[in-house]
Amino acid sequence: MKDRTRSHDAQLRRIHPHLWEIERSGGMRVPGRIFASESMIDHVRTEGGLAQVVNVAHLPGIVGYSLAMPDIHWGYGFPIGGVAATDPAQGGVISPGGVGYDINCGVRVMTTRLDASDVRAKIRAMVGALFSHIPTGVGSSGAIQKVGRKELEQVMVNGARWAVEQGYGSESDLAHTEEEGCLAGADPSAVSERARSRGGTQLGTLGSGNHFVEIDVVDEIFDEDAAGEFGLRRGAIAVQVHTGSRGFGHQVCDDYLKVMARAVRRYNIELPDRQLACAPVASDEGREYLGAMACAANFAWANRQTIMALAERALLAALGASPRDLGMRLLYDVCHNIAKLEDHEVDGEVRRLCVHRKGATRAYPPRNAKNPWKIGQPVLVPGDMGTESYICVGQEKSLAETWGSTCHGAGRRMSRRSAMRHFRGRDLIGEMRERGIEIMAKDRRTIAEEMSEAYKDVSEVVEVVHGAGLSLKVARLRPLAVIKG
Amino acid sequence: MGRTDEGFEAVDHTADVALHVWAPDLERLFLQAALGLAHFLTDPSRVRPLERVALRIEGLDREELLVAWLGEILYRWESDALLLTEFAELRIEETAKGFRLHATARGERWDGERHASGVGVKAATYHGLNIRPDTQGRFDLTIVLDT
Repeated sequence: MKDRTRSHDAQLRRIHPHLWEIERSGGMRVPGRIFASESMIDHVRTEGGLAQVVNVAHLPGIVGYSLAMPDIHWGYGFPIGGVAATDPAQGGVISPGGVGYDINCGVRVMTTRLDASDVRAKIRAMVGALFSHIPTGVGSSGAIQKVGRKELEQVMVNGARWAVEQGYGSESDLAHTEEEGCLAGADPSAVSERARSRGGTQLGTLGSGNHFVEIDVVDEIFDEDAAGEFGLRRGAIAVQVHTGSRGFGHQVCDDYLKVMARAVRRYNIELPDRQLACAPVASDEGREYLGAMACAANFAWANRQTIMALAERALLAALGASPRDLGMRLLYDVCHNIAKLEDHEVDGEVRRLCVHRKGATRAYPPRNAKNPWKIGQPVLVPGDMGTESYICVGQEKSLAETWGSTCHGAGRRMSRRSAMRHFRGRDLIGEMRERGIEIMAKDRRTIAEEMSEAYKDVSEVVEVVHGAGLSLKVARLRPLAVIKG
Repeated sequence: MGRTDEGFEAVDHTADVALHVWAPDLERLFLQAALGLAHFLTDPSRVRPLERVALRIEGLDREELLVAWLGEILYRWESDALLLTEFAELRIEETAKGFRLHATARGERWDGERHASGVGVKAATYHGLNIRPDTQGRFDLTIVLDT
């Protein structure tokens, strides 16, 4: 199972300035397509992500192309930034590796009525309050009560709505969440005891690694009309939450990799990488994974909904403000790691496909009743620690080219260990403060691992999808303070 | 090889962390992998062997057995806050369905006052995992860990 990058270099062909194609060869069922600029593609070539695009093209029932967004980097089985749709009616498969370990890792952005100029002196108090209200880091457990067995089933089935019913946020938040914060088809009977046990204590916790809660200022508007529609004002404070399904989702992924290893034998599926293990969507194994994955996705939405409410409480306490003065409203919540059954047009007819997005964001244009905006859906693209994040808007072209998908973030450039070595001995908290960013983290090592030099430039990623017309830039957020695990 | 007969070391990997392990036989390979994982999770020298658990793991093949073995240690840590850092009586046998591992593990529940917090490892992966002995029956491989 060696990466096969080198042998595929020759077949990489440029389609337009932002799109590259890998011709079909060997066992590939479809060609590969990578959205990237000229300067990015060389890096992609050397990194192993390209070989993974090729590997994904081997999946039974894959339709169109094995796709990758410009934030493509090496993942397990699928590359991060990978998008692939399969047709269940044509033997199409679902692969836990096409979703990833952190099922429904995602981000939400809240707008506020605060102006950055009014709270500048209070930023340290605000970040301190976030840090004390929201449990972070390895092994952290909840600020909220450990959820019991019955209650955890409610979380699995109802998602964000469960949190709203517990008093975390309000009903109107649900309309501003992808799938209204609840993926249909959740089947708790497909979830192991182990997943329940890992997840039970972690609801309402942020976790470690690249997860964060951040206070931002809207520092640039690219599209005044769209920004107005989304309620984004230059100079206003916004808050971002980036986390997922914690140990619950990891265990679901782990459990089903095992199930799929058996399914691959049972259905005689030949794969170039074991981490791509899969089963037909229409098989027992496929249905069970979809049911368990939906439970994990709903756990993640309940988690982000809860953390948003904890963040609101923290800021109210730090500012001594009323909820009306703070005026925190959920702009939108998107998943970055998910597989969903969606209707898409293929060769002139609408087919229900299983769309895998692993490190990619849905980017729908205005086309369905569930979208509360007159324009496309908000696309939230967080930067790494200390750099800007972008809010974009989904475009019609994404439906034609990427099953309604776009990029999700920056992607690592440096391994965690080399980041540790690179930043050894430096006062990183002090350096970030010089740049106007307050950081609080449970473990100082996380700060070194997550320094922005360890990541690719998110602006370049956003420019590529903007240029390709998948999603257009609306506004940029600049961080003022961040809490990490 | 210019180093000890068996052992482990942390190595670089693009997105995550990886564990290089080597040993003269399969059982000692699994032992070194568990010790290596424990070093990612905490500083094992500060963990006392106060609790003892008997572990039994099954796998279709050696790779699945190793992923499940490390997964078991991660599960005990995440669900019970139990840091397992000492392993004994480790046996691996072939069965009709694949492989089975028995072991005794010792460790202590997390105490934030005394224990160092390590890397948030979430799972062992199958990436490039191929557990085959060389001509002398030795094992030498790298396990990529999802963090």
